[in-house]
Amino acid sequence: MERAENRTASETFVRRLTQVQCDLHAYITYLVGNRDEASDVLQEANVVLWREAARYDENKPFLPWAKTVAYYQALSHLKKRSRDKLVFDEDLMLLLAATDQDRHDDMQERLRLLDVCFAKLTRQQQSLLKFRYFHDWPVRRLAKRFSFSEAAASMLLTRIRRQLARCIEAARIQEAEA
Amino acid sequence: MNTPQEQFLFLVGRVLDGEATADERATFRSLLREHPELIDAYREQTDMDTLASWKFGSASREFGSATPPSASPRRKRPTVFWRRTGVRFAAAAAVLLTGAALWRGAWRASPPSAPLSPSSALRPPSSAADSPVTVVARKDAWGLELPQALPGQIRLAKGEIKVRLPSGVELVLLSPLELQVENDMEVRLTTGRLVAWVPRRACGFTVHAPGLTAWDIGTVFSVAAEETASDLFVFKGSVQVLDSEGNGVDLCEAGEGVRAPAGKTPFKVAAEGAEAERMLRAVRGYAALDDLQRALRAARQVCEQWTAKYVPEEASRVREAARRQAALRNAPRPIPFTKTAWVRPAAPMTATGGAKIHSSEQEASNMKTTSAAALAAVAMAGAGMSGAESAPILVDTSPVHNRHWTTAFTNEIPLRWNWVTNADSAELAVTGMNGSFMTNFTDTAATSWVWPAFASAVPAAEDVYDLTLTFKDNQAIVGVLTSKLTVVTAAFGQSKVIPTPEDKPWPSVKENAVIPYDAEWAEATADATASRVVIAKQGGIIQTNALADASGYLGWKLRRSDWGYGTFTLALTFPGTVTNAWDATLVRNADGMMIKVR
Repeated sequence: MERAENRTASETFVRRLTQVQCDLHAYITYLVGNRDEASDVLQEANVVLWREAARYDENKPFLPWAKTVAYYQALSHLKKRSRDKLVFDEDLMLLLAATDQDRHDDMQERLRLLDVCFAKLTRQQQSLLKFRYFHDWPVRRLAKRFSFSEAAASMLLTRIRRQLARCIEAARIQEAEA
Repeated sequence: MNTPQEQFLFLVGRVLDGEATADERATFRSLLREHPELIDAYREQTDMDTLASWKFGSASREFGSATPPSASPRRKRPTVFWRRTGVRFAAAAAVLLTGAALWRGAWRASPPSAPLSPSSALRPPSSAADSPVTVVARKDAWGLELPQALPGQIRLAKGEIKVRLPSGVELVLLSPLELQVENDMEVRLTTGRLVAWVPRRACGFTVHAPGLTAWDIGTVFSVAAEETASDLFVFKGSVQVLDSEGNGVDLCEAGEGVRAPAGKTPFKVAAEGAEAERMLRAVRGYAALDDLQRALRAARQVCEQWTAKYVPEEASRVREAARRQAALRNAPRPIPFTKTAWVRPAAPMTATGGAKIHSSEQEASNMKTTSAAALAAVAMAGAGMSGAESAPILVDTSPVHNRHWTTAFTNEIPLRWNWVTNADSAELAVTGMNGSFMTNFTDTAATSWVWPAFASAVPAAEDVYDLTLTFKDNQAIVGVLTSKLTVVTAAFGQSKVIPTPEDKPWPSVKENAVIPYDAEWAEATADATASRVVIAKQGGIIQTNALADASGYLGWKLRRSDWGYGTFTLALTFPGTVTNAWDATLVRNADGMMIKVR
């Protein structure tokens, strides 16, 4: 009986952790300012979360607890990195974390809507995203491929991300109203 | 670029793309401090950056492939996809659910319909193309089955393949292998060996093997499931391992693993000593993916060295079993055309989902070889049958042409299509044995529609549907798409299970029925490209059904047809191969149909 309960508890924990991976990744990227570094921090955070699973209070929401752990992992990462490579310092990271507190996390839903919004982009915008995110081309290479300056390519990506974010937001409102 | 907003727009891209200089990062920090209102815009950018990386993922780059991203990586339910080739009839897809689980490795004949003469253009899409599991690479692979929907099974008779799941996880699979893919984040290895690469975004990917469960935290690891033990070994990252009861065994880091001997408590192993370190050096980290055999050899040796040192009584048992397994793997497998149904070695003749009707020995005793060395075993599902109802099962009548993708598990079948240029409307016609249906589409922005294949939650009768979507420009036809869909009841738990053939006479059927056929049932016909089913009524009419594919489903319409009652002979042949035939004899009485097996 006890074994069965253990198993169920483990499976439940794994399921919870799996469900919040995208949210955690986004949160850490926000804190450290770089997606690749965020991936490393996320992995470390996952190990800590697993080890600390027994401390999780099942009566409370999982994601806020996981984000707290992720915050401290990001902080630890920040202390380990050499200062000249960092985007943010401790104070700014704290400010960002504080600003995040009232946030409604719903990355899974937005991931779903991204399909719809991606289809609305122009062909060139779609190509840019694919080269950047699927083939992982650096901006320098993108700029050369599309005959832009690096600054223009970077700006273009920023605008596409903003356009997608607004499209997703509009789609969410539309779905909610429907 | 004077305003803070303009500066921000420039700098946020530089920062996220990793191109910002130290000065630019300092400016960016100042901007966020002095203008906290920009933090929301910054969050918007980081969120989209993360989402885009999850959507278009970089799973392939570290693993060395470069296929384009999938627009819809997760398929939750079966979908009929239409293919287009101008105005010609194009793809034929089939969905099907059937009582096919009733028979085991033999032809399931059931009542037929009017003659079908499918156009040669009607071909089911290749199973690999429609599978949620993408084959990234293959090496001497043979006897490969892929699921057409999840959950589903992967089987590999020989060689090795690399597949990618919708979650981005990549698995290198080594034969002989059976792997149940529960969903894009969970697999069950029944037998065989695999090496998994799990991108960070797929953290939480779970592999079950007999005696252990591995929960991944972004890594490269191998799992081998063999007769005597399951082994797990980590080459990079961390894996949390649980035993079969869900108790934690331990967290394994690179160079560590777990052995789970059959029926015994799993124990952790680790590379120990100079020899083990030397073996592992070449395959640590991603190097394991470059030289798989070497990596698996190293993993195995580490496990065995540890076992020999610390669990010696276990070591000799495992060694002996490993020798037997290796001998079995290397044994030649000549499979002639015989009275018993042939199935590719990696595909046991069981219905997916585990429903078995009778053993192969029972089948053999019930069958006689015909002069053409053929056989047919016929089992019918339908009204009047006794026995328990099965649980819903995945229907897979074909050992190789995996039909999971055609199996509907819901009465809501999503249809998708691309509009033909210039078309301003489309007409959908669905024709089955039990009726037909038609609807129109005038909104050219619509590219999908959900078809309720039947009214209730479960189908009242089995059927084979032809779907035709005709595109029109001002009433002139400008294009036609076709597809095929078969509905069977087993996927809804409506398959009657007869415990043994001796219990009662073969069942009777009053309804129209679905007959699966597949050239892969016998090795001698495995390369066929077409099929033929001949139905002859003693002293009556003969109907020849020429089928344009080697695997599929034929609807036999009995109700309100001219067939009447009597004795029928069915013969299935595959033109262009041997003349041997699968055959069956059926007797239809006024109160149903009796089937005799020859």
